[in-house]
This record gives sequence, structure tokens and C-alpha cells, in this order.
Amino acid sequence: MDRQFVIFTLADESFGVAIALVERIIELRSVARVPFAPDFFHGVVNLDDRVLPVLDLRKRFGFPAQPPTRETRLLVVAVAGVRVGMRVDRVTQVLTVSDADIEPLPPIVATVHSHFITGIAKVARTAPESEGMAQAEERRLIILLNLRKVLSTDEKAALQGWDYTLADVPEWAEDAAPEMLTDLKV
Amino acid sequence: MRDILKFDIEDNEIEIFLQDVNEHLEAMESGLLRLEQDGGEPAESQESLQTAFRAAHTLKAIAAAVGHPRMAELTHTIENTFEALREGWLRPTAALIDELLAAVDTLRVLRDEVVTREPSGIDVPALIHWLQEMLSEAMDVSTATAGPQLAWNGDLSSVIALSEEQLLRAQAYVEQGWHLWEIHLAAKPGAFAPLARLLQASMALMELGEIIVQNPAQADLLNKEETVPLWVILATDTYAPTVEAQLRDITDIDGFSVQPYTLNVSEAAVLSEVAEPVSLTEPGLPEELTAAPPAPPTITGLGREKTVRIDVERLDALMNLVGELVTGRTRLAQVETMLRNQYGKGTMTTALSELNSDLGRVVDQLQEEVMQARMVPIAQLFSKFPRLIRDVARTAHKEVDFVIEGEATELDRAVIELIGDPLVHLLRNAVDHGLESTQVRTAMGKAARGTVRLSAAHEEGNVVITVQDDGRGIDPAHVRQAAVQRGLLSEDAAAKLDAHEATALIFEPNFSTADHVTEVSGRGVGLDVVRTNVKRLGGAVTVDSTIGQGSTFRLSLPLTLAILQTMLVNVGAEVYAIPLTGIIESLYLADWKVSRVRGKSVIYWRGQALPLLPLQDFFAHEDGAGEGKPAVVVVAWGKQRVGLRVDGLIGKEEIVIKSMSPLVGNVPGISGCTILGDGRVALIVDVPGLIGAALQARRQGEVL
Repeated sequence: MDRQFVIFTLADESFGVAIALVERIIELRSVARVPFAPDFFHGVVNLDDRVLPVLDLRKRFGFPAQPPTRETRLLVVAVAGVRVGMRVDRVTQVLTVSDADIEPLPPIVATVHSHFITGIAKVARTAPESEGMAQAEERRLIILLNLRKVLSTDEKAALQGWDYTLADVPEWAEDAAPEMLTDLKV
Repeated sequence: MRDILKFDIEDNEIEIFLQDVNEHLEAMESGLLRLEQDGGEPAESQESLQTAFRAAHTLKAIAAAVGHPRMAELTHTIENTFEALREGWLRPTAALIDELLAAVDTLRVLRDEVVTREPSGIDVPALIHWLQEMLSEAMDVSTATAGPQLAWNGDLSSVIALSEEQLLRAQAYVEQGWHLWEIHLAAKPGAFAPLARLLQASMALMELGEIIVQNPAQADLLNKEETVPLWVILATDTYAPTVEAQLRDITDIDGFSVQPYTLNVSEAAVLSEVAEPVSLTEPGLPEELTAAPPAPPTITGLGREKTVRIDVERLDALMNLVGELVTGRTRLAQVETMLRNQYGKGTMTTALSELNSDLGRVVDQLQEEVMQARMVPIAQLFSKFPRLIRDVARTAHKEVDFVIEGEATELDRAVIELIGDPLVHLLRNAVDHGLESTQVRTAMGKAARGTVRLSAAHEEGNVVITVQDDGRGIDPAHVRQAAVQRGLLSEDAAAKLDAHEATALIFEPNFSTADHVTEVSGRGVGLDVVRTNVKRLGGAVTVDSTIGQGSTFRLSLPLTLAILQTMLVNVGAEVYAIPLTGIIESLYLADWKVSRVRGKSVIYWRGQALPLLPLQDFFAHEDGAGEGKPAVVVVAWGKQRVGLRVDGLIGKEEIVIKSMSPLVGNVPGISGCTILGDGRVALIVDVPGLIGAALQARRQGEVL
């Protein structure tokens, strides 16, 4: 079976989230910081007159912070009714990946804590998204994220004493009803 | 696998179903409680019983309509019991009222089955049986003693057999749980227009149900020349005493008898065997035969006001839209100012100003109207509490007078929804822990019955709800001791608190969990939860208590949750909104001399040392000074005053409160957020929470 993923980068690493979970991709906008929040909690922004919480995925995954660039985007995802924006460095493409190309968990993933990951997709490099990257390898790796884990806070240590509660998000649903992605602007 | 119940109701109808059912259940319950209070004097309880009866009657119809036979059946029995009570042939004993209240609770469980679609397993037949036993016992007694002066002494020879069609109809009623009564009556000899009296009686009986047969027939009655006795078979869902009462009201009736009429079973059974295929196959059969008996007329339509029921969600959506309109209008005013600054006064800018102020007026009115539409009397909530108090008092073996005041006070329905739990908490505490036992009270020379008073009133744009008891009060010494034991603060710190501050410790988290604290202080079950909930509403809770005389909890709540008057301030790079209700005064820092007292910044303001709380430090935004002229916003919570140091004052603004995402938990000092005219998000300062957190931090020597 083929699945579609929205691919984005963080510190030159590629990540994918199931397209059905992505509502929109928007440009970074004015963020109101929330006091006492964990540092990966970027703040809240106005999305269509509603207040959207935003996580800084760089900080969530422990990459060094980086000021926003022209390409910084907010990936608006909805998992089990919880709507959240995820700040990423760059959104690159929508990619169709065959199940056969997804491997469960690799022995070594250095950059991201393994419980955020559902699998690794090995895909052939294609011309359009190879810009600025070495053409050396034939295949590249995309880390497929377990959004439920990314949105949850098992690690109380990170919470700096703030009663940071997250809605209970069910097991990341591969079988979530795919929603049409209408305004994907990559 | 569990059974799944099927009901004749669409998912989108469930909300309305619940609303209706709850309304009727509450009416039944409050009727019962009033009946209990009135001591069952029929004259005093007539109105409550009538309301309860009507509610049961309508509820029965609703239950039948959604296809919930157990619910319909139980409601039917309850209805009959209410009727018997109303007619005075059943006495409202404590046991009966208990059983009826239990029946109402059972109905609640049955109601929930419609939502969950899972059988609750609750025993309905036993309850119905108990009530029916009660009814038939009472009926026997009542029939034996009722109206001897009107007893029928004619012969019963007029009895004739029922026709086939009449039998069928009678049987249909019996299957539906109605009763058949055989009635004989005659007019007084020499009465004026005796036949008209019989016709009148016949009409009166028709009000109770349906006449299966009567002899002479109604049409014939007026053609008769001489007085004859009237014989009637009446199908009705009422009992004999009701029928008798109905007849007793008619003048010039010589005597009557009301006897249960038993259908000849074998005859009926044979008929039904014949009748069923007939009614199915022959379209020519009169409708009357096949159709279910007509439901008795409902009386719910009486006294209906000119109102429309509206879905709460729709009302909320309307409020949100109005909120956005208010924001838009603010934005328009900003554009207007910008245009005037840029181009000066001209025809166009003047026209825009006029338009803007006209629009503003309409928007204000619209907002006011929608706000009004959301207002409901707090009686909606308060009406649930007499039952609560009664149950808690019973369990605790205490005698309690429960007084409700100001139940007509109106507030936003969203507020009403959210203060239910805190009030339940406070009321339960008041009875359970606040009031002493009857023996102790008597020994102290207090009235044996304790009083719990619940009142609501408007005060300066807020609604104030108080829960007052005349019990033992809260001993600050015990609270201090308990707080030290719980490690909430040091012995020294505890000793420094005055009585009022010490008492307020009962709202601290962790204070409540220790059981021994509850025993010594008589308080403290989850009061921190009460405070948290009230705070979440932008309100505050305080307590006043005198040992031996009782305690008063005071909840101060905003009228509405949707729109808030605020002062916008710059704090570093952020904008915060401070609710005007918490603000006493705003000062420019430059006009004041800041002193250091024990290392903390204060200014001397209105004769007191006002501690300054730099918001940027408190919220840990390390931005450097934000835009504007540094200022101090003096805020108050109870007797406490604190000056919030901000980087600049932006101005007053009416904001629409937006809910934070569920992802964001409880942030100290923040109650919510809003979207400003320029599209930015601003957080709303929770003044009580901020002061509380700041005071705690001061005790630990960090801020202030």
C-alpha cells in the first residue's frame, strides 16, 4: 500500500508526517509566548481568529535553536481533535511512499529520540528536492514521526514544574480517515 | 457481548431529549421536596403536585415517543402516584417520598440508557411493583370510605353486554395499562333538568378518558322524557377516587357507584384472535378499532410564553460572531485614527468617523441583546440543591433548614454551568463539616436545626454567591497548625499570618487531602478545587468565619465569560490584557519614588507601601524594556494590593475571550487569551492568581 507524507526538514534531517493529519501549512506569524511553558512550546498564534498552540520542533527534538528564515513554516496538524502548529525549518514536498519502503525502527538513529519515530522510509532521490544537497547517495532516509508521542509529554523533566497537560491522543492512527488536503502550499 | 438498546431517536435529537427530560425530572423532584416540606397538607401542596404530575405526564409521552417502555412504564406509575397524592387519597409518608425520589433517580439512569445505548441493569419492575402495591392499598381504603352519602342504591339491572367493537376498544385500553370503571348514577328525584345532569356527568367522565359505552347513549339522553339511571363503562388512566371526585362536583346527583369493570377474558381473547388478522388485512375497518387509543390531552401547552428554544451551541456561535464584530469595529476605529493622522480632517475622514460611531452603536446594542439572550436565572442551578442538602443532611443525621435567596439573579449560562460543581462542594461541606450535630448544637444553646443559606446577588458588575452556615466556624489556630503539619509553610510564617490570612490557607492545594485536618478544622475537602474552578472563570472566592457562629464563603463571578473590559499593557515584546475589574488605578512610574524595603521595590501609595511586581521578571520574558512609558497598574484581590510594573500602557480595550487550546494547561497568573485588533494574540492576566503566585514567591523570597 502507498501512503502520502508531508516531508519537512529540521537541521538538514528529513521528516515525514501522514498527510491525513496535516491540515494546513502556513508561514510563521507573530507568536505570543506563554509564560512558564516548556522551552519547546513556542507560544500561541492567531489562526483564523482561533488560538493555535505552536511547538518548536527543533527544540522538541533537541536540535540547536535557529532564528526564523524565509522558509520557516508552521505545519498545522490535528491529531484526535487536538490542533497544534509545529514550527519546522522548511517544508519540501508531499511524497508517496510504499509500505515496502518503510522499515520499522532502525538500529541507530542518532538525532531523534526513538519513541518519536514510527518508521524510516528509504526513498530514491529525485531531482526536484535534491537542490543544495549532495547527490552522492542513491537513496535517502526520511524519519516518519509518531505525532502522538511528539504531542505528548511523558518527559516530566522537560516541563519545568508547569502543569503542562496534553489531551490524550490515541495511538497514532495509520487508519485515520484521510482528509483531503486542500490548501497545501509547499 | 453487551446488548445494545435501540431507541427511536436521532443523534441530533438527543441534546433536546436530554434538556426536556432533565427539565421534567427536576420539576418532579422539586415538587416532591416541597411536598415533604409542606408536611403533605394537600391544600398547600396542590400546586407542587400539579406541576409534578404534569411533568410526569409529559415525560411519559417523551419516553414512549423514543421507544423506552421501561421508562414510560415507571413514569406512568409515578404519574398515578402523584395523582393519588393530589387527590388526597394517598398520604405522602416519608417512605413514599423516599421511594418516589428513588424512582426519579431511576428515571435518570433510564434516561442515560438513551445516550449510552447500554442496558443499565437497574431494577424497574420492583420499583413499579412497590408503588403499585402502595397505590392499590390506599385505593382500597379510600374506596371503602369515600362519599357514602352518594352511594348508589339503584339496581344494576341496566347492565348490558359489550358489543364486539366495544370489547376490542376496551381491551386495547387495558393493554395500555388503563383501567375500566363501571359507573352507575342517577339524578336526584325532582331535580331541575335531571337528564341534563346526567349529560353533564357523562361529559365530566369523558374528560378523564374515553367512554366505551353508556346507556342511555349521550345523544339519547336529551330525548328521554323521564329520568333514567345512567350506566357507563369508562376507560381511563386515573383511579376510582378521581372518578368519584369528578362526579361529586356535579350538583343534583342522587348517588353513584364506581366499580372496577373486568373484561370477560375468554370473550376478549377470542375476539382478539379474530380481530388481529382483521385489523391488519381489512382496510375498510374503522380506524378507531385499529389505532392506538388516543393519548389524553396534554396540558403542557397552557401558559406557554412567546419563546423559542435555541440550541446553546447556536447561541455560542452567535456570541462568537458578535465578538468578532466587536474586534472588527475596534480595528476600524484604529484605521480611522490612522487615516485622520495621515490626511487630517476632511470630508472622507469625517464621514468615516460618523459611520464608525453609528456602526459602533449598533454593535453595542447587538452585543447587549445577545448577552441578554445568554442570561438565565440562577434558579436553574439552585433548584438542584434542596435535594442535595436533604440527602447530605440525612446521611449526616443533621437537621438543616436550607434557605435560598436571590434565585432570580441572572447570569451567563456558561458561568452557571461552570459553578455547579464548586457550589455542590461548598454546600456539601457546609452541612457535612460546617454544621455541628444536633446534640452539640443543643448543648451549645444554639437552635437544634442548623441553617444553610445560599444566596445570589448582583454587585458592581459581578455576581456574588454566598454559602453561609451557622455551624462551628473555622478555627485559624487549627488551620495554622494543620498547614504547618502538611509542610505548606514554616511555623514562623504561620505565626505571622493574621486570622483572616490563616483561614484562607484552607484553599491551598494539599491542605485538603489529610483527613485529620477535616476533623479538626471541620473544613477542607477539595477547597483548592473550588478556588481553581472559580479562578478559571475569572472570579474569586473568599471565606469569613467566626468560631462557634459559622462560616460564609463568598464567590464573586463575572456576569459573562464572553467579553471582558481590559487594559492592554506592554510587557517586553508581549501584550497582556489586565481585566478592568481587578484594576484600581494606573500610574506612570516616573511620577513616583521607588523605595527599597527589605530588598523589595515598593512605592508609597495612598498611605501604604505598595509592593511592585515587575511582570517581565515574573513571566520570565528576557526582552529588555518594551514600548511605552513605564507604568504601574495597581490591582486588588480582596484586601491585597499589588502594583504590576509594566513597560507601557496601551489603553482600554474590550476583548473577546478565546479559549486556550486544550494542549495548554493551567498557566499561573494567566486566565486565557484573546485576539487583538491587529491580529496578534494577547494573554489575559488572572489577577487573583497572579497575586497569589506572587505572594507565594515573596514568601520564598524570589520576586517582589
